[in-house]
Amino acid sequence: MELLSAEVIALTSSLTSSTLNASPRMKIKYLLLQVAMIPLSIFAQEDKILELGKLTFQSCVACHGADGKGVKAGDLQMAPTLHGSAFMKDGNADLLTAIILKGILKEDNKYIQAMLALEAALNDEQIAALIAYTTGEFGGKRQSPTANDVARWRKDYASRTSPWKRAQLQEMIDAASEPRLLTDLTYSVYKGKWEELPDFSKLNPVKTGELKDGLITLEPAKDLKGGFGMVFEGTLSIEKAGKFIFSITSDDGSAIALNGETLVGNDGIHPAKTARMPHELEVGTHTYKVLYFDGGGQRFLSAGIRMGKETVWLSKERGEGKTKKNESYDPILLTAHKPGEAIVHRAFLPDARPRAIGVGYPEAVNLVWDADTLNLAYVYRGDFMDASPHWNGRGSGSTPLGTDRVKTAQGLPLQVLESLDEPWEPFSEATIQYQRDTPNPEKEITFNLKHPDYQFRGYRLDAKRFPTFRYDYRNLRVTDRFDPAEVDGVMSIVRTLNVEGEADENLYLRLADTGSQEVGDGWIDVGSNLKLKIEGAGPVHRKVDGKRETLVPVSSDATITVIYRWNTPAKS
Amino acid sequence: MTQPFSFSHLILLTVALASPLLFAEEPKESDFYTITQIPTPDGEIVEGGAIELLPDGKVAVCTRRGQIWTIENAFEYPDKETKWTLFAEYLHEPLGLAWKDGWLYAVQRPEVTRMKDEDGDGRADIFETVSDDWGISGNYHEYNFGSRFDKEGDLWTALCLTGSFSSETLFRGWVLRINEDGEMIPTASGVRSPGGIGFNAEGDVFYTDNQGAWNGSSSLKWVKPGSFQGNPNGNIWYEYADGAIGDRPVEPPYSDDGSRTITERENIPELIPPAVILPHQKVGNSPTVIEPDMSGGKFGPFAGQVFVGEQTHSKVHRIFLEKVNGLYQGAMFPFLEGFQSGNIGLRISEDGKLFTSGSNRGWGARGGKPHAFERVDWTGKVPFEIHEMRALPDGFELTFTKPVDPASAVDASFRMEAYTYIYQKAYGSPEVDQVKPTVTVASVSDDGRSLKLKVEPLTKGHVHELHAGGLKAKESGNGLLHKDAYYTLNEIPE
Repeated sequence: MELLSAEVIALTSSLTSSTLNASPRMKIKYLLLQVAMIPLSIFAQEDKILELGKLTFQSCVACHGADGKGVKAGDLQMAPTLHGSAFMKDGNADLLTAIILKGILKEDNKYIQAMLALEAALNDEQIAALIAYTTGEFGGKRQSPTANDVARWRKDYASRTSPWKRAQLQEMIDAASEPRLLTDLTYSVYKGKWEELPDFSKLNPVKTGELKDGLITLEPAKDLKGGFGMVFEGTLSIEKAGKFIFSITSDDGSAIALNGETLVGNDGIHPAKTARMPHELEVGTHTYKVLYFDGGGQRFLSAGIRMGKETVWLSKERGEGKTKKNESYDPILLTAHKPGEAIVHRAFLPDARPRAIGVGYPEAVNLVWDADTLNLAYVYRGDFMDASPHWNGRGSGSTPLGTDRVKTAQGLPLQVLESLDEPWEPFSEATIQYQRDTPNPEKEITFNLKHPDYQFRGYRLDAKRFPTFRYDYRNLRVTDRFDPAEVDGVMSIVRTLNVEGEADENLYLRLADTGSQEVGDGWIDVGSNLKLKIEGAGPVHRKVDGKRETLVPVSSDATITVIYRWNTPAKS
Repeated sequence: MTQPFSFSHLILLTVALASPLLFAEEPKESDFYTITQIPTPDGEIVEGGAIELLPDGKVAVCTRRGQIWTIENAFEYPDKETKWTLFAEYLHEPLGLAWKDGWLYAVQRPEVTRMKDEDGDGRADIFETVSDDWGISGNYHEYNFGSRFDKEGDLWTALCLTGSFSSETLFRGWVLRINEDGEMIPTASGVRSPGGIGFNAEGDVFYTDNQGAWNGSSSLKWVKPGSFQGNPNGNIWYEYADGAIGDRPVEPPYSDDGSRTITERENIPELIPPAVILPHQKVGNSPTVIEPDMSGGKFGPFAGQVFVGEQTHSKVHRIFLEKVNGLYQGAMFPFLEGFQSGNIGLRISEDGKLFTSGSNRGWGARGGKPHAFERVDWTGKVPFEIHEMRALPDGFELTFTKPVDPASAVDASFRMEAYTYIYQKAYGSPEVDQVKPTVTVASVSDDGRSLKLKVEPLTKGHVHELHAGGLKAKESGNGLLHKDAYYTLNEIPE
């Protein structure tokens, strides 16, 4: 069995290497066969491990060389030397295991071969032995993890399905070589179901122990399911006084107590969330305590201290869990308060100015109306909105979901055109000289400046919470309303724009600015799988600045209806 | 098996018997003011923004997630269950609420909106844009805090800078006023990162600004119309103010060394110093809303004073304000801590109930809860506190909520340190220019309700941090509930 797997490795590695010629491959295979047949029982226990390690290492010599210095192939190397590798150093056996299990991605041509993932090929005993052998031979000091250690690490990395990137490995090794600020770190595990941190002092731990590497980890509770708590306590050594930022990220609740006083609270049931608190510390030792509980579901705990620009992690887990990037929040899909109602959501939205308003209709068609331009920005269909980036962290705006997003005419909706050659004003903007904290700025910035002809007046919701937007344009009062309607078998959006008051002569509404053309039966193709049909006024097509636009003349007290219909029904 | 009565037991017994006499338990905040958590509806994230009291006895709270709730029985809970109704939702991070003439006004990021429930189902259906005459660029930092209506019927908003340092669109870093006709009047510049805007008992407008660039410490600032509050980045918009507040102030020093506010007041007449500095880190990190106690004593002995929310430390501060040589200044006293989340909204009713609402999203808070809605009730007991701290030509006058023990009103009971902050473009400032004044008790009033301290020297522009650790109440013999006070001495009275 061992023989077989070793053979597979050698074969796989040689097959994936384009430069390896036939003869060394055969030689390796032969060598493997030979070594594998040595009976193991004749060696003493330790020797046995080293022999197994040496034997296992034969799977590696094709690239790393029997001397561990890497096999040369012309100017290049098959694989790097193992001598002096940080991964071979004291205390990094788990990282070495990570590499052996998952391999390393080939990102450049520095080495001809990529480190292969050996998790299927080698068992825990073999990996433990391989580490003992290689660290002893090439690393300077022998590391002796047990097969049980390897089995544990194998579990830790089980969810990873791809090889490591070198940058990730560098991060791991940097993390491993960081100074440890915590010593005498102990933990206690408690069983229970809470919604906030309990008074642990009144509870009996089910398990206690010491974390010799000085890193906080939820590992001791990994077998507990459905609610547990942990308390970590250690000595924090500060060598240079200063202001530090203490942070803790947890799913669910947690808190940091420093010298017996709560410093940071992050309590309650929540997804991975970070709380921070600046605090000044004197040189010397301080008692540092972390309280944590998991109410079930996802669990995560990391804790760090920022000193200047650098964060020193006090936990095995690093970073801010899922909250690290906006995209990785658990989605928060907006749903109507009652079935059959629309949702009107004001938030920063993409492809619209900051005063954007999203509207989701119960018929699964949606739109974004822009209260900066007083105009429809785009229509789309399917799911309405993910508010998670808006409602997590400091809030960066929501993300429209769904499909078939079509931008309609951008910019301000109405304009008086003395001639049809006159260009459309895209938006109302101005520039100003400005640079931060500079008395005589040289830079010019552009900013939105409300157009004096327009004033947004808000909206009214009807019984179904459908909004009718209102704005003033010069002496006109305008309402802009949208209703979902099935048109020729496709759920479409019907826009009703009503103008009250006496319109200026030559006033136009711009409906398309993306190269529209009439395609018969009153339909105007505006591209992007969408057509318009206008009722209440005849469209005017024009080409200005090389762009085809569709305008509609606006008369006094007029009602203009526009159907926005996708060419095909929505995919269910 | 019985244990023999040992010597150690004897000691324990002795200590136990003696302790009431030897170590009389000092009163706690909760003896005077209790905090009641009012549960929010199941599954709802009520990240509290502003709070408003409605004429029908309901309380309204707006949330950072854009909801506006109306709450029945918030005054009576837990005697009566509360009922929460969602008046509006999905608004753009409203941080101001004001009721007027049947309309509920919300200050959202992009606009001031007024809302009404026309069909009587408890939910707003009319959303009218009252004003949107300022810029937003889409940066998360561009918060917009709103006041209630002032005595003139104007609503005030404080606009955060773009991304904490710069002003990249119209009127970022300004305080604006919106009058009854929806007209916007640019009113003050120099704002950095406000946390709330409101009034003192006289109806003058104050806002809180958070420590950062051009802001050595967080502070309570007086929005004198036409004033410049210190951060020059928004001053480019003077040309868009249509002369509403006069000419653009001269530039503050952009050098790396910075200056002092007291120095620059000489050069920049519009520069107004913070009325009350809330020493950063010592008393809090993020001051928020400003709320006067107009209950006439129903909220305890501090009627007419001002309360300020504190987000990071989950506290409420108490502020005494006075006007000296035309400028507001005064003292900050710790008031109450232990709120569940980061306080953002505060509202004191005329019958003396203080409501608080909070959130810790984006900025952690000691309370640790992601959000909270709470009520503070006065127990009716009067704490022994410094009531007022007034500047005198040669020191300070302290008044007390209860008579002091004259035997404790001695020099040794007091200690003072004074310091200021650098006025600079860099972020924040350490405490600088430290002075260690000597404090002597000049006189104690016959009724023990006030005393005068002679302070040498007084330093104009400095925070005068007083520790009155040795002072005792005459009746109980207890020390002050809060022994520290922080007076910002912008002006020394003649």
